Amino acid sequence: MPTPIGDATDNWVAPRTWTTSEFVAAGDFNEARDDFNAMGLKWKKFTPSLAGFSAIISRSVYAQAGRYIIVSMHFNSVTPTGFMGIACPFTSHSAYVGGAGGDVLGKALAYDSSTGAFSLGAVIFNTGSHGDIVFQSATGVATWNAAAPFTWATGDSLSIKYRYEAA
Amino acid sequence: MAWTAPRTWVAGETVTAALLNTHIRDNLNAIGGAWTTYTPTVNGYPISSTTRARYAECGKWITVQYRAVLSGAVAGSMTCTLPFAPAASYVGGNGGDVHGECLGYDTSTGTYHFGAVISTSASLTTVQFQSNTGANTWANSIPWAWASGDVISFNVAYERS
Repeated sequence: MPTPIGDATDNWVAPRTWTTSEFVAAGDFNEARDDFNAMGLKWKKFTPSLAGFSAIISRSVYAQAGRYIIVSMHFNSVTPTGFMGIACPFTSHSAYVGGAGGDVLGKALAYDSSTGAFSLGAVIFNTGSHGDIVFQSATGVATWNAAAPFTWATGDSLSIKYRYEAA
Repeated sequence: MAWTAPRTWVAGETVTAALLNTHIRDNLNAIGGAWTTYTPTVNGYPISSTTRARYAECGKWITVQYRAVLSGAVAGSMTCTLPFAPAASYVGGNGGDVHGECLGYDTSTGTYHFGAVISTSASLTTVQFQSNTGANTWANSIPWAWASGDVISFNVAYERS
């Protein structure tokens, strides 16, 4: 689990099972409040672990409703050194498959500032992993790296949006 | 865990454990608990036993994660059903509303094909797959000649009826 940057009173907790004749304390209702806040307040910032590239993180946030996770990221000055990957804020449910032909979780958009060209890609889990994502070109065999979907250079950016079921 | 229409509480009523469990605990679990499996109906492509289809239900807000491995060649247009029909305001067929993204994987070449998921013109509950370029609805030779072992996955979020 990532260390969220911000308020800790809106972390998701397992919903309470109420029992007959129990004394209902404010804290019990506030657990439900925290779950509603986890869903309804601003998304949580976190510091992602990058593999195969460095970048200036302009946004890295997630929304959490229990196991339902939505992640939104934007990076500037993307500088790959190998295959590009990012750790998810939470490990996924083990049912999901990493690697070739794996589940599509969302989309990535790379921007080549030298040409003004955008490249759309798919977000999938990395091979053998349920906790790291990689990016596949919309058509072709390329897993994004220093030369794919184009030769990255200073000023290029990357944005990502995906959703998944956490463990 | 199924979603229940949230209760409107009234002054002076007795709040029971059962009511709290149904309207607070169970609805929070419907949103945040483990996703529910379902068995979609597919047309146009034979699938193996490794198919997976799971959805999250938050009232009218439905999210689906689907993956299937083909067990043979594709015949005709490829379609798959959602767990619930989208709201009637959504448009099916070519030019329809995009529900999410799909990804095809050709195991023989290691090639990926990214596309959009939309409802068919015949049924909002049934989705088809569109290539990211061109007037191409995925079928036996689109975006390539599908074969046994190839993989299709999609991820959609939509408003149910």
